[in-house]
Amino acid sequence: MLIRYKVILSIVLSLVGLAFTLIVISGLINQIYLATEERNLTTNVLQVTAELNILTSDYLFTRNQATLDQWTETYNSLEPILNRLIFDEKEELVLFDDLKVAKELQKTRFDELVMLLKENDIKTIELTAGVYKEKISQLDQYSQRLAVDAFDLFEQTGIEIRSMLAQAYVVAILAICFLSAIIIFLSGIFYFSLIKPLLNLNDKLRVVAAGDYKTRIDFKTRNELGVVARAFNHMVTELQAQQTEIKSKQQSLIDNQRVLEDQSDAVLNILEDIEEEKMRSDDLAADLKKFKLAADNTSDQVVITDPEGVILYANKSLETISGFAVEDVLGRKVATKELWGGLMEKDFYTQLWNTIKRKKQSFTGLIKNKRKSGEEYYVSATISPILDQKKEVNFFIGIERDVTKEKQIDLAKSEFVSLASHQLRTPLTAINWYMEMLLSSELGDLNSKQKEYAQHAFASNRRMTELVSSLLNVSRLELGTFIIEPKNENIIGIANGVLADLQHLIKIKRLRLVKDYAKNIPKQLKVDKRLLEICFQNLLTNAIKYTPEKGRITFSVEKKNGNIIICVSDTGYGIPRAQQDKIFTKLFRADNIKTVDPDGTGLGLYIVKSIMDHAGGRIWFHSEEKKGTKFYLSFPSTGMRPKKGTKSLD
Amino acid sequence: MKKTQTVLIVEDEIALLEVLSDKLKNNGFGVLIAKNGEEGLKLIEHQKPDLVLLDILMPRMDGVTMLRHLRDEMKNKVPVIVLTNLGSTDNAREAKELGADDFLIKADHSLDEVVSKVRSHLK
Repeated sequence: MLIRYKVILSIVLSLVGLAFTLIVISGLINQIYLATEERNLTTNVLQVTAELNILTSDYLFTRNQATLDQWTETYNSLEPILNRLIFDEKEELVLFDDLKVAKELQKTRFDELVMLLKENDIKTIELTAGVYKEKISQLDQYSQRLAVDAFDLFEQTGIEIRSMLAQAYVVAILAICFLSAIIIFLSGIFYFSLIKPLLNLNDKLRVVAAGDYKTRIDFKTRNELGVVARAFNHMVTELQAQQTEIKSKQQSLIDNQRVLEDQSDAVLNILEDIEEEKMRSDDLAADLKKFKLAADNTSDQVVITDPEGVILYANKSLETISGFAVEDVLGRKVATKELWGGLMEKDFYTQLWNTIKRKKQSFTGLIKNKRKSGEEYYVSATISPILDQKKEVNFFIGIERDVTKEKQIDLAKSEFVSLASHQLRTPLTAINWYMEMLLSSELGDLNSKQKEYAQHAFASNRRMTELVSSLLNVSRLELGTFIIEPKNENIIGIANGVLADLQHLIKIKRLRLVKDYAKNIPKQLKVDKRLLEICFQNLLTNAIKYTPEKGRITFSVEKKNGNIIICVSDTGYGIPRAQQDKIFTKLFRADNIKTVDPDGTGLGLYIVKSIMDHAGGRIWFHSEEKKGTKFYLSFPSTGMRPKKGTKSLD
Repeated sequence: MKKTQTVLIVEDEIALLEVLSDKLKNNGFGVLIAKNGEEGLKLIEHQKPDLVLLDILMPRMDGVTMLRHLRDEMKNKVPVIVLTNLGSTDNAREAKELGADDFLIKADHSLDEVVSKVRSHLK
């Protein structure tokens, strides 16, 4: 409840109490006044009755007419006094009526006495003394009664006044108690609703003044102080927010100051550095000049681009190699169709940018470009990202050497090999077929020596044929003309076919063959059957050749992490650790097997690796000398990557 | 007794021609010989061989041209096995498209294998 309502209520209550008290007390006073008045009147009645007694005695003694008149007059004065007396209480009324009767009786007796005296002379009076005495005593009796009645009335009014005074006293005490209660109540209101909360507010204000902005007043009342408390809480919240803002501003000021200090330190350091730098800059300028001269004048084309491939620098050799003038290419995007690029397949460029931009590694490779004149040329290119301290690409630097002549020579070589292989094959086929005829009994039996020689010749020719086929394959791989045509094939069927062809070799060496095909191998896989056969053939032939008799060869196929993994493992001679990194090099043969089999070509693994590289697969191995070798092939279970070309491998 | 089946060999290399024809004869086939495509077409027209062994690289008319004539113009459906040392996919695909029934690399196959191929296509 609002305090003002409490105060108004209290004031109204006290006013009502006060009015009530006043009315009661004024009523009492009025009655006391009336009672006092009656008391005075009764006193007058007593005086008059006393006078009447005296006058009666006088008249009896003197029988004077004047005294009689005076008596009558005095008696008449009693009437108005009695008329003024008004009583409301029963006891008093009885007394009053008695008084009036006594008065009437006194008058009657006196009149009777007067009459008696007037009618008779003294003697008669003597005679009638008995009557007279009786009359006098009656008169006395009645006057006495009148006096007693008046006195009783006098006493009665006194009692009345005392009781009224007592009532007034009680009423006054009650009024005082009531007013005191009102005052205590008001004080309570003032203390609990106003002073205590104000003191609390004062405390909280002190707390806030001391800097604690988390404090709040917990007022649940809805009165005026509740409003104040909410205003206070709101103010403190605002203050807190402001304080927080001030603190953060202060912090940022401090930070700024720190930054400024750091900067000034840095500036000082830089100034110091500049001094040192100045000393070195002359040397650096000289160095830079040398490098620029070197870059400008080298016979290799040097191009520097920004991370987006926009040309920032190109040296003079650009003009000699590509035919474009340096000033024409600056600011343009490197190696586009409009300049010297765009001749390679899309995949090639994707891979190139992926290597230098995403992997941030150098890219080295052979690129076919075209000169301004439209003539095609080949470059051996090395493109490297130059990274800043955050490992972000700052520049790309591309160094390209015109290898068209070398490439042409290579092409000629490969074409020569290709043609020579074909031309060599025809006589080889002839020898092969004639030896076959000789060795068959179709033309008659040879003697044992002849047969032995013919067999040697036949075997040598067979090896020659295989060597020529391998050379032909190598030339196709290097020319890039071979085709990869993945079709849906059953890889297990392909493996079994190759293993069946090699069965007799396995038997001769008394090797144990273990096939291990996982159950989750898809029935159909997109592979180039011929290429896979070549790979299996090479790996298995190696395993057979380079495993001593009674050894074990395991051929396994499994599917793991979305890849098909083929493993050919043997318990053979192994690859010497020192030579393991050269094992895929063309024509390379490990030392330890040169003595075991002097006739190997050193082309098999090179061919397999080339095939896997082009088909989007991988080849790797684990080998330990004298324990064995495990070769792994893997390609995605989605299949081999197709490649356009003209020739298949043999 | 079964009628002798005739194989036409179209091949410019005499050494190969000789041993191949001997082998086929020894295996009971009749053998016809042509040294280039033109001769081959004439022999097919007049002698009607049961099967043709066809080389690719030949003077005057090569095997591919001859095969085209045979299938497209003469509408002749005699079985043809291309037998060559050119291991290129283009040749093989072209020969297959023109209607060759098989494609063998000479160097990779023994005479026995050639004979069994011939037999399998004559069945």
